[in-house]
Order: sequence, then structure tokens, then C-alpha cells
Amino acid sequence: MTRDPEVVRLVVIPGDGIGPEVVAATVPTLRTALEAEGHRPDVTSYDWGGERYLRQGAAMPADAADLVRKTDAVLFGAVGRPDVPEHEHLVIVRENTEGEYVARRPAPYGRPRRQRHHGGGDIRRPAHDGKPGMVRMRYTRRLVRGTGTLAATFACLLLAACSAGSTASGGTGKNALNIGLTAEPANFDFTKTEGAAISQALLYNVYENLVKLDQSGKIRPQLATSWTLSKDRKTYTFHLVKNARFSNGAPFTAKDAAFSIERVSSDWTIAQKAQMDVVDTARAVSPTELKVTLKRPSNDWLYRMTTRVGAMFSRTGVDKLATEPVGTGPYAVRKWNRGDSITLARRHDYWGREPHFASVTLKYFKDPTAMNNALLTGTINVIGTMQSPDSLYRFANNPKYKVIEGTTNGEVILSLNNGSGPLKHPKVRQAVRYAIDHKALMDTCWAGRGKLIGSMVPPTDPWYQNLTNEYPYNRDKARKLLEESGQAGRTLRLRLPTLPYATACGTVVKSQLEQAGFKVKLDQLEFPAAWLTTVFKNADYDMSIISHVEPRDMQAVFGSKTSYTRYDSPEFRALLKKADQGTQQEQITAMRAAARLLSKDAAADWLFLLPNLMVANKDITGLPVNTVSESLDLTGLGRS
Amino acid sequence: MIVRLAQRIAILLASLAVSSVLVFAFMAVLPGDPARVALGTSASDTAVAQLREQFGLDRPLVEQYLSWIHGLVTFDPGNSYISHTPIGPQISDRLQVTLWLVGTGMVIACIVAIPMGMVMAVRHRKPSGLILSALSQIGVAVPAFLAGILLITVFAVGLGWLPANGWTPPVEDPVLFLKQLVLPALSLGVVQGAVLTRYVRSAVLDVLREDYLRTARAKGLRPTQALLRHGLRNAAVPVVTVLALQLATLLVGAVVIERVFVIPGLGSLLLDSVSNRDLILVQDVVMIIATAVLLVNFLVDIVYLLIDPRLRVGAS
Repeated sequence: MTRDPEVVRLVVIPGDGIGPEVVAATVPTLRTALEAEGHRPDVTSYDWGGERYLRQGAAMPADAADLVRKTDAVLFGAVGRPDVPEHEHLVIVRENTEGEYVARRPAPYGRPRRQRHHGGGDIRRPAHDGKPGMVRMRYTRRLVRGTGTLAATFACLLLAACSAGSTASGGTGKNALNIGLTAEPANFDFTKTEGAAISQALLYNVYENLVKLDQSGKIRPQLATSWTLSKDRKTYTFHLVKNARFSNGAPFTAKDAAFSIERVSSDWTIAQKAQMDVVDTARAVSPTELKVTLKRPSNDWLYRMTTRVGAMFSRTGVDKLATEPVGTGPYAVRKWNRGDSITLARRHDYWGREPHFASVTLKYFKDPTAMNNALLTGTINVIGTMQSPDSLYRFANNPKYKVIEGTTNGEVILSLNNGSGPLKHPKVRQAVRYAIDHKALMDTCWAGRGKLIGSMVPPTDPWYQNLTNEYPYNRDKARKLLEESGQAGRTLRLRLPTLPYATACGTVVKSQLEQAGFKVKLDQLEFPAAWLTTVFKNADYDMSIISHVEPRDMQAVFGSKTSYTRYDSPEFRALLKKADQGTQQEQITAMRAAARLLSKDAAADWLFLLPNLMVANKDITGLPVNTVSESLDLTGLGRS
Repeated sequence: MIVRLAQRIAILLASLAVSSVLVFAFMAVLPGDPARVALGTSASDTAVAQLREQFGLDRPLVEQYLSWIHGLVTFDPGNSYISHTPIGPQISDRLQVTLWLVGTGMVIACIVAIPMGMVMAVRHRKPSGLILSALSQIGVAVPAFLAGILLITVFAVGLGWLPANGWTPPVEDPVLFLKQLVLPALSLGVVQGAVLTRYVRSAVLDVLREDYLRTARAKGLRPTQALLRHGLRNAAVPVVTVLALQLATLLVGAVVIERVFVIPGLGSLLLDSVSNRDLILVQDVVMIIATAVLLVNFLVDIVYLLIDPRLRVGAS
């Protein structure tokens, strides 16, 4: 076959429906394109298709194959009419020299059968199953550009985050210890920030006091080697250690001690600052001798010197208390990864005996289960405060762990508003106390862990006495007292802080009270902010549940009519005063009397004492059985 | 295209301005004095007044607003009321953590959802498609934290393959970082992926019914080829929309996962600062999140333009 290579022979089959329209637009384009490439298009058009079938009884003539075979290309429009059976339509299969391309009209819809078709350049009628062979087509171009762009966006975001959380978490190795705790400090300045978290982390570890509490609750020397009390019980003389240094390098002297004590009244803002009001003067006699004169004798003052208000600050180290605490303690804050952990590093220039662990990381968990898992998987070595006693079984029978159970200073009380509302009436308060079955309550809401004490005094205080029999559970008596009071119809608002023990015990208290004929409305206030303002400051409540964790807090909770319990008893205040000013024996007697008076007046109901529940790896030693002080004392910890 | 882009940028800037005013106004009308809140219940009035002056709370509102915006724009938002530490590093630290978590989660979600959704759509009347569909419904119904707890129980506590929780910056220990990232990212990714799968499925189903896909098939492409070559990009537009919405939600919404896995992310920072009443920090975090959401929407608009040429032509 000879023909002019310049000439391109095209067969055009416009077909039916939209076909002619499309082809009419396509042909000029094709023509231009071919001419631009130096070809001379020769176009022949045929009217094959459904229209022709209807007109002439066949979609294409018998010699269709010959007509098409000699052409270079066939341009198809659309073929097919609904009123013509599909298999009657023409089908053209045409193959180029590479054995590719297929042309068939009407286009098949549905799953095609993969099949190599045979013979070159062939026109055939469709098989009656309507499934002619099809040949593979190439597709290579930019398949998924949209997805690519998205991926690139993510990549950028991720790359930008390479130093995410730039400060480190826990240390590893034999000299490092990781302890899991619950409440993270908001900052490091306990002179201006309320709450127990800061002193838990820093006291005795970063800051030291003149005197500290030991495990049995006795006052022991720390920065003071010894002290004497004058005959009138008003002047304390402390002899201080010689070689103590602050972490900023400054030596610790009696001037720093006097500065620290005086600074409480001048600069501190927290409620506990009042505990130093009794100080008249604090004077440095020599670098190692400090004389503190009190306005009146006070047993409590020396005790308070073991708490945060007795912490010793450097005269040159109080500018950035919130972020850079400076103390004389064996540890210094090395890193604070906010929202996660605080790492304390052992000081090499510590004046006293070096603690065992070179690095201690306090990791904070809001979720008790997460803390349990962290111990189970080795992220932490110690659960410092177990917040889910019902999950203790996961550790109790496992030889890898030990469980420590002791007492704390955290009296969980059902606080009653003595100043207004139905609970102003003593009989209603007494009825509340009779109505509560404390054993059942503690079993239900704190897995039976804890101690029933019936008063504001934990067993580690010298004047502890078991007062649980003062108001034994007696539902009938409660009902009777409530009726006698004439307040039976009134609703009591039980306003709970959002804390695990409070929410757990709140529902039990409500149901026990309701069984005794009370009407109780329960609501929850976000802790700390909302609860502190509504209940603690404004006393807008009838009942609440809170654990008072500060040591020796009878005075703070009940000693003033402006405290949120609104308990106003001159007799009680007189007893506290007598205890503070008397001898040690007088103190114990008076404190016992005060605790009994509180109980008798039903100033509150003492639900139970929070247990000190710790779980630790077997080899950790020196963990405190009882929480006695405000500090989580790390200095005695070790590894066997 | 450029007109489109300029429009989008203008909208972004306007929305940022409006949201900043809203955030500021909202914080300003909140009851309670931030200084008193910061100092606690027992602070004296002089102490509060001092702190108000220190925070600049005694100045006129407009001045406060402007100085706040100035601080944000210059990346120096000042110090927190409660922790007394600079806010900028706190937020950027937390944001980076969250970006890792959410980014990885979303990548996993895409890896799960796009093929799954396509298979489900293509086989939507077949048993295999129905089984996948049921699985994805379960995925949608399971909250991410539950998935997280299950993963922890199995892979951390049970098998001990991976740590149960914690966070380590990648520069510090890349291996530990990856180990700790796996479970939280999976819990986010699988659940978000299940949600996304539903959208991919319906988008692909819509596309399958389109004429152009039949045409592609008519040209001789196999169904998978036709779908990949012509269908995917068209199905992408609604999917990208959903993806962006999920991404924006997750910036804060990952907080539950952050809590389960003890990860110090942006969501926990917001929660903590709300409960501490650290209002300036709350205000800044909320603004950052608003900015992030607006930025994501802006990026999505750009991605639309890349995916769908029709939108590009439409503008010029």
C-alpha cells in the first residue's frame, strides 16, 4: 500500500444523540492540530449508528471493515439510542501498531472482562453477551496531586514542631527516682500562692527550716542545731549550723533567718501568714545565733516553724520566688516541664548529709489510672498519692511492688454551715451526724481505706483521741432530732468541690441523709476556683465535703467566726488559747477538750481520715508511712 | 488565582481582628478580678491593687486591648498571672506537642480512611464492603479515650511493648519519643480515621455516579484506575473540608487523649489555666486556637484551589 505520508486519513463517525455536536466541534480542532504538525488531514464521515439502524435495519454497512481498515484513525462520537438493542449497535475494535487502543460504541458499562483481543484492525459485531475484549490503557499523570499537597502541609507542621515540649521529663538510671503525684504547683512561690502542692514538692527538699518534723511527729533540728526556751516561754534562742549555703551561693546566717521570719508578715499573702503574727521580734545575735521573742507564749509557733511559714529564704534570693526558688536544701529545681513534671537535682555543695538520689522527678498525673499504668510500665517508681484505692488490687498481690498504708493530716469532713440556714440549729447538725453510717460510707466511696477518727485530730498528733462513738450511727435518733428541730421540710444544699473523694462520698452522704428524712440538693463546684469563692470565702452553702490537709488545722477551720464553717464558740477559742500558752501537758489536755467540744457541738461531721496510700517498686526504701508534715521529704529515700 | 488568594487573605485578617475583639471583650466582661483571683481568697486589698497595676489592669480597656495585641503580634505576650513565667514559651511548647500528636493522628487517619473509604464505596453492595462499613461504624462510636485505654491495656500494660504514657521531646530522645507517640497517635488516628472513612465513602460513592467517571471507564480504564485518576481528586474536596474541621477540633479536642496519656499539650494547658483562673493565659490560648482554626480554614481554601482547577478559573 503506497500513500503520501503527509496525508492522514480520518474516518469520522458522529453517531447518535450528542455525538454529531461533539464531533462537529472536535474535527476542526483535530484538523488544526494535524496541520500544525505538518500533516494533511483527509476526513471522511459516515452516518453509522442507532439512527441508521432504525432507518435501514443495520447500524453499519457490511463493508464497514474495509472502509475503515485503510484509514489512519477513526474519530468516534457517541453511538447508542435507548430504543435500539445494544448488541445491534456497531462495535469497532481498532488497534495501532503497538497493539493498544480500543474503540467500541456504545461504551460498555460495568466490569469488563480482561482479554487480549486478536487480529489487527478488525471490525466485528459484538458477541451477544455484550462483553467484547478491552485492552489496557496507560495512565501515568499526577494521580493524586491534591493528596500530595495535604501531606506536604502536614510535613511542614510536623517539622516546625521538632523541639516540641522542649524541656525534658524524667531521669533514668540507678541514681534517679520518678515519683507520681496528683496536684501540680501553679508556681514555686508558696508565700503568695495557696495550696499544698508547692510545699509538698519544695519544703525540706529545696527549702529548709530551722526545725523539721520527723516521721513520729516530733520536732527535730534542721538548720538549728539546738534551741532553748526562756522561763517566761516567750523567747526562743536558736543555735544555727555554720556551713549551710543557699543554692545561689550565699551563706546562711542568723540574719537570713530573721529576715525570713519578718518577711512573713510584710510580704506574704497566704492565709497561713497569720501564724507568724505572734512574733514580736526576730534578731540575729551572732551569725549562728537567733533570738525570737513572741508577744505571748505559744506552743503552736515552734510547730509552725516546721511548716512553710518557717522556711528559710536568702536575703539575696527572693526576687523570683515563683520561678527560681533559692533554699539551703539538698536539692535544687533543675527543670520544670509545666503540665508534666518537676525535676530536682542533688546539690553538690549541700551542707548536710547527701541524699541517695542524684535526681528526683515529680511527675504529675491528673488521671489516677494513668498514674497506675505509669508505675506498671516503669515510667515512675513510686505512686506518691494513690487516688483510686479501688485499684490497689493491681499491685497488692504483685511481688514487684509494695503498698504502703498509713495516715495523713487530711480529715475529710462534711462541713456544715453553723452560721446560717437550717444547720444553724444544733439539733439539725446533730441529726446529720447521727444519720451517717461512717463505716459503710468509707467502704463505699474510698474502698474502705482510711481511718474513722470522729474528730479534727489525726492519730499522729499528741492529743489524738478516738471520738467515733460520740455520734454512733442511729437513723431513728436522727429522724427524731430533725423533727424536734422544726426544720424537717427544708432542703439542705450539699455543694461539692470537683475532687475524687468529695464526688465519691457526696452521693453516699446524700442518700444516707435522705433515708433519715432530710431533703438534700447536691451540686458540684469546680475546684479550686469556684468552690473557694462560693463555699470557702462567701460561705454560700449548707454542707460541703472537703479534706483539710493542713496540719493542726482546728484553729484555722473552727477558730474564727469568719471561717467558712461559721462556728462561733468563745469556749472553744479559750481552750485553744490555753493550749497554745500552757505547758506541754496543759496543751494536750486543752486540745483534747477542744476537739471534744467541736464534736459535741456537731460543728461538722468527720467522715474519715484520708489514708496515706503509696505504691512503690519493691527496692525503694525510706518512704514515709504516715504523712505528718507539709513536705514530701525526699531526703530519706533510697534504693536497696 | 491571585485575586482569589488576596480575597482569602483579606478574609483571614478580618476574621482574626474580629475574633481578637470578641475574645478580649469576653474576658473583660467575665465577673471576677483576675488580680484577686491570682492572689487567692485571703489577699489584702493593697496587694490586689499592686498586682492590678503590675498587670496593667487599671488602664483603659482600649489601651489594654492594644497592648495585648501588640504582645501577641510581637510574640511577647508577657507573663502569666499565676505562674509568673513568660506565656510565649509556654504556649509554643504546648502547641508543638499538640501539633505532633494531632498531625500524626491525622496522617494515620488519612492512611486508614482514604483506602478504606474507597474500598467501601466501590464494594458498597458486597459483603466485604458491608463488613468494612460495620467496622467503621464501630470506630465512629468508640470515643478516642476509650480506644486509648484499650490500647494501653493491651500494648503497654499487657504486652509491655510500649510505654503507657508520658512525653519526651524528639530532640532529646527520638526513640522514646516515637515509642510514646505511637499509642496516643493511634487512638486519635483510628477514631478520626473511622469518621473520615464515612465521608470518603460517601464522597467516592457520589463520584462513582458521575458521568465523567463513566466516560473514563468508557475510555478503557479499569474501575480502580478510573477512580484513582479521575475520581479521587473530585472526591477530595468534601473530604478535605471534613479533615480541616477535624484538625481544628483536635487542637483542643485532643485534651482527653492528652490526659489519658499524660501529654502536656495545648488542651491541657487551657484546662489548667481555666481551673487556675489564669485569665491572661486563657485569653492567649483561646486566641491562638482561634488563629489556628482560621489558618486551617485559610489553608483549606488554598488546597481547594490546588485540587479543583474549576475554582481557580472561576475567579479570573
